[in-house]
Amino acid sequence: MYLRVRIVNEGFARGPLLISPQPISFFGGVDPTTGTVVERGHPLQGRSISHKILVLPSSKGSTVGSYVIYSLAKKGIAPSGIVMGKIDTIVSSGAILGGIPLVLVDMSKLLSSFKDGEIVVLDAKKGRLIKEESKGKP
Amino acid sequence: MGESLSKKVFKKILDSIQTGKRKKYVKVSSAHLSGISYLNIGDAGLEFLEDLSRSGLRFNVKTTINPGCVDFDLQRECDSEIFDKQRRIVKSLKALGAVESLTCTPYLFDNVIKKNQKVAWAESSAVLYANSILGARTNKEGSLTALSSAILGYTAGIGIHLKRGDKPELLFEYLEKLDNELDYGLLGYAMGLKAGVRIPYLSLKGNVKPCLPYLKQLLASFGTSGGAPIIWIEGVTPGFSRIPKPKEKVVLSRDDLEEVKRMLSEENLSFKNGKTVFITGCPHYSVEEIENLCNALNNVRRLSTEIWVFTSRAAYSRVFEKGLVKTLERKNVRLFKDSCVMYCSLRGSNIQVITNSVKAAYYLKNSFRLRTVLKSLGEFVETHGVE
Repeated sequence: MYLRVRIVNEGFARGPLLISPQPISFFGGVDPTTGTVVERGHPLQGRSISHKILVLPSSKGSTVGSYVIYSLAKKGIAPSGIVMGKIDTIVSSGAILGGIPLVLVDMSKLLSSFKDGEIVVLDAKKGRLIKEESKGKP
Repeated sequence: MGESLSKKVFKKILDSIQTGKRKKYVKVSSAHLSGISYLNIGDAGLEFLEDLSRSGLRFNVKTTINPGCVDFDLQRECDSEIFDKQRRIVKSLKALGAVESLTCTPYLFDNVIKKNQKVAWAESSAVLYANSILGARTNKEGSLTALSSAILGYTAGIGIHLKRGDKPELLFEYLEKLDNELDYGLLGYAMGLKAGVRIPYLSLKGNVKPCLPYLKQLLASFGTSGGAPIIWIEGVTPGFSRIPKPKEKVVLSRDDLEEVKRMLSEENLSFKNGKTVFITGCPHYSVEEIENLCNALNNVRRLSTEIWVFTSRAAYSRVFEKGLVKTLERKNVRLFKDSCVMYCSLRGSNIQVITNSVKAAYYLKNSFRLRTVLKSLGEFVETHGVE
């Protein structure tokens, strides 16, 4: 099965989903040298966003977050793709600078049919987020 | 991984903030960039700007830059790593073609703009000044959208650039007397809290034609709490008389001002530990404001508490030529350039700050975690001047 997504930055990525139920502050909240979430009390604290298809409702905090995403991408430790609930200048600028596929999705639909950790294909050319196991229809 | 930095990438950034299918663009004649301070953008920002300066891309319109976090003439005041990284940031921006303005008041010297001119400026206080005082038009750009516009020469055709995108949506009335620059700052902050992202129209019944220093405070603090890029100020904003007043009205009073003061100002200073300074020049003082300060200190031999004044290098050089820097230094006043109140030596210090700027109080309290007290310059001089 797959979900239709709106493309912000084109691309293609495959990997495990990492779902953040809360907004992420990329500046201060993510270690730019390792890609690990370091914000105290954040549901993803201690987990790495590197090479994941990162799902988050929105971002928060400083606009410098864009540079952090760019810096992660340059080091090769950025998320492989980003899925967001709503448009967000900080993340979209960072993803565009870093060449990371970025799409928008209806968050409640995603949460009802996808689980944290499962392998997905993010086709940010055709506009689809695809579950890897099944080959069925939406 | 990642695309190399190219014009295409920056056009995509301008596209990504537009929701419609058909993207619109507006040609701009200048850009002003925020996100210059190393304390703000850190190593990730430095790395990005150095990459960009090596990419071959260059700014295509006049581009000025916000203050950094150091005074380049006062190396000893600050950590050598911070000083060096701030220098590298400015070097990269100069290589890209930026004017080394290092000020939040570019409209005074380095990026003078006129009525109806379309520009792409970040730095909210400068955006509000450009629209509300000068009659130019700019959205409240982010660091990266302003940077994109500097490179491309155009910005996204949204917000204030749309037809009637500058229309006021909420009428504010203030009927009482505003006494000084701090009152105007408190009013601006109170308006921003009430307006949210809506564009206000301000009617100041009993306060006809406030002076520019007062208006600067009003606009800077509104930019701190509110989202709109312009305030239509009756009697001030170019074209105000042809603009219909919004129907929805909010009447503000002294109580609203006092409430803001309670939010951002400690009741009293603690004299137990740490040094106290009076900080002013947020936004950067103009030549006129430095002269006003000299006048306010005319009868003061020396202040018992230091005043720190933040200004642009352009204004500093002019008042230096007039001999005012030395006059002020004798009275215990220090002038800083290239930086703003988010100054390197204040971060992590236990300095207590008295300031007449609501915006400065907001950021020094919330970002630098300093103890802040709001007082007008007049009130401060009365209690701290030694005749």
